[in-house]
Amino acid sequence: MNLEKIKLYDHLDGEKIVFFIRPHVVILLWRIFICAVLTSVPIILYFLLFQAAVARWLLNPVLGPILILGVSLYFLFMWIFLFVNVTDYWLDYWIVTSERIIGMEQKSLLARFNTEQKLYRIQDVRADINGLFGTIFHYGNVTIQTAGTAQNMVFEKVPDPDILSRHILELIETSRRLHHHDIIEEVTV
Amino acid sequence: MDIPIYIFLYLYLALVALCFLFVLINVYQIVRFSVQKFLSFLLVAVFLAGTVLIVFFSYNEIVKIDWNYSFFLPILVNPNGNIIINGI
Repeated sequence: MNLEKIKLYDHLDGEKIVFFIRPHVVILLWRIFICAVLTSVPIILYFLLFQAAVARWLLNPVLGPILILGVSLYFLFMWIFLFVNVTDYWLDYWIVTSERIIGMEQKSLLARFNTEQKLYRIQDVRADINGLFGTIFHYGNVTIQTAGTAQNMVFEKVPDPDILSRHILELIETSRRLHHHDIIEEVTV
Repeated sequence: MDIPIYIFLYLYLALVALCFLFVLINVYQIVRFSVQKFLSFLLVAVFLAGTVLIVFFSYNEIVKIDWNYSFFLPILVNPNGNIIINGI
């Protein structure tokens, strides 16, 4: 992905985007797989068990229309369920710049969670890989621990969390050297 | 008690409207918060095309149905106001 094309709504002077991170693509594929299974179950059941029964129900002047409406609604709901899932994946991202980390998370259809933290304020970065899929596909969480009462930032299910955390630690070191005056000021206040 | 089957159609249309509300909210979220504009546009286009296809196939089946048909539901209300179904 071309990082220069990303436009931040409040670009700071001299700020450079270093990483644009999304959850691992396996997460998206897994969600698509679940939707595909849920969609195909009634189709498989129809072909295996209910072909004759459905043909009979369709001839009924009451059951037929109800069946058609039900099937139409089911597929529409499944399509929108897939859309909501893909959107949820698509709108979960974290941007690491030379100055800060910005987190944008889609928690549900109507809930978004935006966080931002200056790099020099970050105290610790931790990476963990859990579970069978995490180990096979090498994805996991990166936890950004900040100073003070600010909530920790968690990059959920991102690819190569160990490599990413190492890079972020290097960026933090650079940022601390550049902002040592700000750090001293904050400590004395 | 005669029940026209078009009440199922109204119920269906209400649920389809709800689906479209979900789609609109999703499209808004993608347009507003995505940083990869072209891919987002493609994503929205694919999903809208899929939605239109499902609605189109559904419409083709729905127009063939006689929605004025009514069916009899044997529900009676006795003098005490209790509902009796099938003589129970």
